[in-house]
Amino acid sequence: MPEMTYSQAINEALREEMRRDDKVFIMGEDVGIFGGCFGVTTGMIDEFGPERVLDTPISETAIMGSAVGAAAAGLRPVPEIMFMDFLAVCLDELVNQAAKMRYMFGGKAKVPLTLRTVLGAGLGAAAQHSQSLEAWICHVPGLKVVMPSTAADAKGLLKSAIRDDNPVVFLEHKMMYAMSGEVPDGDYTIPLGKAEIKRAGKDVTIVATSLMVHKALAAAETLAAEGIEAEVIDPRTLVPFDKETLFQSVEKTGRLVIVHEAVKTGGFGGEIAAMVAEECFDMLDAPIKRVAAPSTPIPFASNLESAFIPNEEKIIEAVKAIL
Amino acid sequence: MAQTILMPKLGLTMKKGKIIQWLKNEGEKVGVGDPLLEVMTEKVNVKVESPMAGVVYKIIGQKGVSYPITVPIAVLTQEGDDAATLAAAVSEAESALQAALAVGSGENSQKKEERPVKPFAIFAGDSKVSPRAVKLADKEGVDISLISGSGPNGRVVEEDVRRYLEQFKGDTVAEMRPIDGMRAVIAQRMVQSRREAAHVTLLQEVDVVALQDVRDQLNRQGTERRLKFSFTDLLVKFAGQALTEYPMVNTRSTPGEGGEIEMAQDVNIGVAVALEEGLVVPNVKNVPLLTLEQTANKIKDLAIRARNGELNPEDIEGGTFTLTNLGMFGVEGFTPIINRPETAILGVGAIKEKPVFVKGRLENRSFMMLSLSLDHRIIDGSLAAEFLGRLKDMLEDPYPWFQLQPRNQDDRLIVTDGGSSPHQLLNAFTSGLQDLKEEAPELAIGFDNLMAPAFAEGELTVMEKELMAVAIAIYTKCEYCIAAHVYNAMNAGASSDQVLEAAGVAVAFGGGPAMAYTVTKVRECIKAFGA
Repeated sequence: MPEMTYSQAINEALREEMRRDDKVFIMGEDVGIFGGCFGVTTGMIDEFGPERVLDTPISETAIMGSAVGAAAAGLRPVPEIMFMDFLAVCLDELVNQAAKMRYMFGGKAKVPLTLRTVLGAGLGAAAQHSQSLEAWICHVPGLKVVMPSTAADAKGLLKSAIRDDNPVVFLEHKMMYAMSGEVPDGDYTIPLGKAEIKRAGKDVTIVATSLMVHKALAAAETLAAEGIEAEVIDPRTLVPFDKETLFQSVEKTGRLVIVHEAVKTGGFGGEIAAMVAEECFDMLDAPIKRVAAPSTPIPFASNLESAFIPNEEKIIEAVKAIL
Repeated sequence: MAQTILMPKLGLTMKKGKIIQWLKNEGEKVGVGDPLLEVMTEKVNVKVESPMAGVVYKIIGQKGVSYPITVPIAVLTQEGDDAATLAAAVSEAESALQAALAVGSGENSQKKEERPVKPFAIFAGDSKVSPRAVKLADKEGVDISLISGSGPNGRVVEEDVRRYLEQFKGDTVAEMRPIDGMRAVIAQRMVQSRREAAHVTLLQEVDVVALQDVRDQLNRQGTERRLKFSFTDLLVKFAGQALTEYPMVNTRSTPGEGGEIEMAQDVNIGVAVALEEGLVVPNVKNVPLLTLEQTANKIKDLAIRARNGELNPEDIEGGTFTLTNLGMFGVEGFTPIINRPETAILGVGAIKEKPVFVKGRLENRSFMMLSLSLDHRIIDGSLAAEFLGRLKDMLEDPYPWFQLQPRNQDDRLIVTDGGSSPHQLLNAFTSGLQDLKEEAPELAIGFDNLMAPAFAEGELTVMEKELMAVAIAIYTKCEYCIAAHVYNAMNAGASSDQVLEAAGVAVAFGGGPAMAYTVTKVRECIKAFGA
């Protein structure tokens, strides 16, 4: 299997889908000649031309509004919002239009758009360019939410998202673009709503999303050296959520630690904890633990920023607190 | 030179001795061979002689206390001993005594062992428990509160439940002990008895107030008689008497339908002695021929030898009847198994206090349950009942058998205040009158002097006078008088109709109020005292 970066994997997925289906096109701020703020769409304008790789004005409202309209009209737009934080500018288009249309028209309208956007701290991009706001999106019925943690997952899930007839929000972590990983050759997809066990273990289940999957795996390695076998699960899509894989794991281990980079208050970890508490309480041998960011704006100073982001030590500490 | 006197070993099995009294005081002279003190062993009382001539310098062993053999109990001195030598000898002797007592103190007590109480858990909500652990514990039917937790903050987790289950399940095997030795003999004899004899058990409650009084009087008689008679001693003696009167109960039999009944010539009563490893039943030979003291001594001797494993075959053989006492354990009644080839066994229960009516007065009395198991092949129920009844009668009035008189038993009376049932009224009046005899004797005696001739048999009979009193009591509206005189009248032979006729006279004079008393109190009293 060839090795490529997370960024390259997304680029490849986009190209393959655009070659496969001429209704697919991308649009966003500087996605064309510049190749995107993080270089994800580098070179695509050369292959597909400015009609299918649209540089847009600096207006998230315009990007989302036109994408929703294009999707309703039969195209498969893949708009890019440069930072997830900017979703606040175009939430009406996403939440009140894209998410509702299929339901309100009794299934006669479809909105097959895939919104790519970027979340996460670690770049010193401060309070307005670093947030992980996936819980906002998950709260809106009608939107699917994908958070891949590896290059392979990113490619396979993006292709599924583009082919899906419903609006999908595809969340990429800016600190993972440069991460390399093996990616299967050619055309393959990963179904939405299917979690993956990234590491098997019997003593504790760690559910982690996005970049936190890697921190959880590192923590699991350290714990293994002490004889604690952690099972690391990446749900990969938050909506729809793969309860079955999670519950099976909890049934096996009896202990659950949830890790996400978003702030703890109102975070999706609370939803996961509630599912387990509601539906497999009797499997628990210990209280559920959440490792998440503190409920504060993300600081600019790098030492404060790294204190904000959940890390390996905090995960290990949480595991040991319930073992 | 100072010499220390030790508690002597007076017999092969003697382990300790009780100092009954010192025959010499501190400072008194003693000669060689002079009796120094009196010691009681389990069997005998012995006067211990002085091994030297001198003066009793210091008595260490206390009168009335038991000491192990060879511990110092006194120091004697001779002329020429200096103060320092004596002080050293005394201090050495005292510390040796203390050391010996400290070692022996653990085995002194025969009392019931105090066992700690760990309250049962009722709900499993008091400690931290994981849901998973609760589920597993529920599934396996385990009380989770018994499991200690190893999780964070002592939480009981699944692993703790699993470990607990492993501990009590699967391969663990209860210790198997053989039924051998004395246990085997007991087992064989118990089963054999159950198989050979047709067991029936009769229960008979006996009022033992008089027996307690007799025992107390006997045990107070003469300070030189140190042996205290037990209820067992008295029961064996009375059983011996009853058995001579009912020879059919004092029998031995061979098993089976075609067996024989051996009409025993002697009355040899076995007394069950509980040992750690089982029980033995040595018997007292010829009980009717023994004095009470001889009987008691024999029982004591047999019990001691049984516990020391020193019984001879003839102590066990030849029994004709057995007595087994579980009263000391608080057991009230039970169904003893006959000690074959005997044909009856008497079980003795605990003495319990109960409030009972005695001739209309509420008294606090003490009762003992006798449980007579008999071999119904040999002994008929009616015969056994007669035997048991005879025993009961003797036990309830034991005075003539010991030429004793009952002591005043008035303190048994339960004085109730309030309540107006016929018995309560009667009781309140009679007991009040009793008390008044002490509080105001002249008034009480004066009342008696007035009453006695008025109600004595004369031209009118006692019954006629009491019936007149009934009518006057009703007219006077005195509930107490109504109860007392209806009781007396009916005791004197008045029928309920006669009492009611007297009441009718009262009604003629007293009208409605008299009628009210007649239909209430008088009728209640007739009902209560009529039977």
